[in-house]
Parts: sequence; structure tokens; C-alpha cells
Amino acid sequence: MTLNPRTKYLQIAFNRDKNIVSNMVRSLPKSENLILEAGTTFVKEYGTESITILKNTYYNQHRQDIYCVADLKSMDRAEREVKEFASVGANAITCLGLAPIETIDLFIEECAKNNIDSIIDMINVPYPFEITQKFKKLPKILLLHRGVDEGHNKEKPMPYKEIHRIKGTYNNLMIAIAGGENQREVRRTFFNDADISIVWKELAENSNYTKSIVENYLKFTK
Amino acid sequence: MNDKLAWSIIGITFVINIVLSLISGIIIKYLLNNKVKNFSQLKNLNKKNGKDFISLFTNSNTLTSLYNLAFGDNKNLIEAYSINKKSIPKIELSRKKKFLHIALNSTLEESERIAQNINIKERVLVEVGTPLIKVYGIKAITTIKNALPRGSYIIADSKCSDMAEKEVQLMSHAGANAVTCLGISSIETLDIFIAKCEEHNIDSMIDMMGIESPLEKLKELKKFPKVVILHRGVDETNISKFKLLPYYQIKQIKGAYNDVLIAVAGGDTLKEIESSIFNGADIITVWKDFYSFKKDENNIVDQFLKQIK
Repeated sequence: MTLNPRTKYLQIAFNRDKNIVSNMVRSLPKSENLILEAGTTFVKEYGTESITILKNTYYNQHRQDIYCVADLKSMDRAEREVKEFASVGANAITCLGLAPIETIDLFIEECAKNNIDSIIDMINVPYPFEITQKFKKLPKILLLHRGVDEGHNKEKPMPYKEIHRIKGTYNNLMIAIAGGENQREVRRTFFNDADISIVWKELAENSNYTKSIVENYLKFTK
Repeated sequence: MNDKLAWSIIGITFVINIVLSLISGIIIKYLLNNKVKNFSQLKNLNKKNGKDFISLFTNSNTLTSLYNLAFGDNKNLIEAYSINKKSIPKIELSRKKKFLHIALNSTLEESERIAQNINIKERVLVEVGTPLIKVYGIKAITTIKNALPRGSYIIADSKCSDMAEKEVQLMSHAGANAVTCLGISSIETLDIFIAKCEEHNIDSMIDMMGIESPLEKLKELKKFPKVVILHRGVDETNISKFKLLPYYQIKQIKGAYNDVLIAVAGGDTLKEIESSIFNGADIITVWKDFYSFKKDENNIVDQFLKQIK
């Protein structure tokens, strides 16, 4: 499965108990613009099973494959992590932009070898350009971030202004924005030219209304 | 009148027996349907301790154990079934001793075998490595904890970088005695991480991989962690051989913070270990010799322990 750089995608991050997550995935609408993410804590709780839960549940419900991201936030030993998650069907994996440059280069290379997309997560990176300049090869996606814990600090703005700067320099790089908490922020994300908007909070707090919330978000991808 | 009393006692006892049997039946059925994995884990555990699986049901703690197995979290589960396990005195970190920190990073089966064979001593800490946690989830922690004697010190190298509260809770419930968080995380994450570790009564370890000046980072924190890990990553070590372990930072941090312990990771040769100890490290992390099961793990442990007296 590959992502089309001309399409807008909505990525939903899951971090709760596997039964709740399965129910939420079952109630998702069928859409070509949807990406499911096994969040870092979900991965750390269930291991590689986290990916199979998401993929199988969605497939059983809609008879359609879904693009799945494993938010591993690799920091070291990239090779092993990529191999393990590629083998269970993950379509993309994340690596921290603050990881040693050796790890990032190895990560991007290993993702290419295993035919999956590489995502570099710029969480806590004030100037993403300083990091991207050091890469041997570019990743498929650059993830600009305001962390969940940072979200408590309302003074930290969403990194919208970086999107145009990065897209102007690197043609084929897709930009994902994480840390958005509501419809307004999702709309702003796409308005500011991001390719992927990552959401979790509103869904985690209102898991019974997953379908309607996601349908509302998906309107902005059109 | 006496007859009536006797018959009512017999009747009540009969009803109580039926109710108890029904409850046990429902619990056992629930377990067989939903907790088969735990049962097989339990079976292995009992086999390991030379006890028959049936002995579980004749044990005086059966009801508590069954309840924990059915409804308790993993921590209760481990405690409930470690009745027959070998115990060692509880390990507590202190600057007065030097510790050997063994990181397990291979497959879960291999790591479990190594854990079963290591003769855990007072100064040995066992780490469930990041790849193990990411591939197997918290099951990796419970499995390794089961394989080790009671009282062992388990570090969950979870390398937390966000959502610290949930991650600390997960690792603590799985039975970890310490959790790691990346120093490159935001200050908000680090502060929440240290506070939550204190709340859960486990040790906080901050991994300074990728940070040029750990001291500057520590100055920004509200509270200090129990341990600071000075780190050279595995990928870094393999590719950039010239990168040195940051020995000079050990004294810098220890001079500034009295209660913080320093762990040094990323050097596995005896020479590097000697240098770390010479420079004042309290904990030495090794992994290469414990990647695959070799049968002579205990000799290696003894050798390392001699080195870090």
C-alpha cells in the first residue's frame, strides 16, 4: 500500500485497551483517506500484536486493507525494530528526529529495504531543517509534532509555519502534523498544506461517537 | 425440634456447597476461555519449580490465586504464583555499591532462558531491552520477572518520550522496579515521568543518549531522577567507532547532584568497564555477552562483578 502525495489523509492514533480499540476500529467508516496508527504506548503494551489488531479488525469490518503506522519512536537499533514490524504488516514506522544520525540513516535505509514508509518524528525539535540537512536519504514522511505532555503547555504553538518552508525545499516529502485536538485544528492543519493530520484526543475521550467524529474530520480531507 | 435444626443445618450446608461449586465452575470456565495463555505460563512456572500443576488447586492460597488470575492485574498474578519461587534479598540502588546491569535484547525465548540461568546476586540488575518491549509488549516484562528469583531488580528500558503517565503505569503494573525515559524528551514529559515514578514507588532513569550536555538538561528539571544513564547507542557504536563514552560527564553530574546514580551504557569490553568504574560510574550496563544463551553466563557475571568491586 502506498500513499498518494496529492491526497489528504486523516491518521487516527490508538493508545487505549485493545478491546476498546477494536470496538473503535469496527465503528470507523470505510474510507480511502484513513490511516490507523498503533500509538507508542499501545505498541509497548501489546507488541507487534498491536498492528495485527488494527489491520485484522478493519479488514474484517470493511473487507478492505488499511494503511497502518507503528509509532515506535525508534531511538536505537533501528534495523531490528523495522524488520519485526514490517514482518507483521506495518506500512510505515516512526523514528525520532533526535536519534543519533547513524540510527536515522540506518532506519530510512532499512525501511526502503523492507518496502515500507519511513517517518521521522520531529517531536521536541525546534528547527527541523537542521536535522533534515544531515540525512543521507530523505524519509517518506516528516512528522511535525507537539507532544501529548507538551499539550498541557498552551504557550507552545502548533508548528504550522514549518510546513511551507519544508515543502518548498523538499518536493517529495509528505508532511504529517500531530498534536491536534479538535475539528478546528484538523481544518487548520489541512489549510496550512499538511498532507496528513493526526488525531487522537477527541476520539479517546468520546470513543462511543467514533463514527460521527471521524466522518466530520474526513470532510476536511476532500 | 433438634431433628428440624439438624435438617436445616444439612440443608444450608448443601446449598452453600452447590453455590460454591457453581462459583468455582464459572471461574474455571472463564479462565479456560479467556486466560489460556496465563494458564500455560502458570503450568511452565510450576513445572520449573518441580511441582505438579494440580498442586495449584490443592494449595491453601487457591481461592486468592484464582481470583487474581481471573480479575487481578499482572503484578498480582506474578506475586500470587511466585509462592514456590527462589527469593533473594530485595535489591535497592545506592551509591555505596557498584551494580552490574545486564540488558536482555534478543528474542523473548532466548532472554527467558538466560534469565532462568543467571545466578542473580545482590549487585545484579536485569533490563528488559527496548526491542523486547516493542516486539512483545509488557508480556516481555512479566515473562522475564517470572524467570528470575523473587526480589530481583527489573529495569523496563521503555525509552519513554511522551505520554509518560500512561507508560510509567504500564511498566509498573507489569512488575518493573525502574523505567527509562529519554533525556531528549520535552521538559514536561521528564517532569511528569519523574513524578509518576515516585507515585508508583519505582526508580526513574533518564537516558541521556543524543544529549551533549546532560548537566544543562538536569538543571531544567523540577526534581532529579534516581539514575542518569550516559549512553552511546548501539547503531552509533557500530558505525562511528571513534565516538567515545562520555566519561568526563560522570564526575560533572555526581559533583552537582549528591543523590543521583550514574549508569554507563554502550561499552562492553572489560577495558571500557574498568574506565567507567575508574571515572566513578555506579552502574555498568552490558548486553553483548547476554544476547544469546551460552551456558557460561554466570562466569561472565562473576568476571564483571570482580571488575566493578
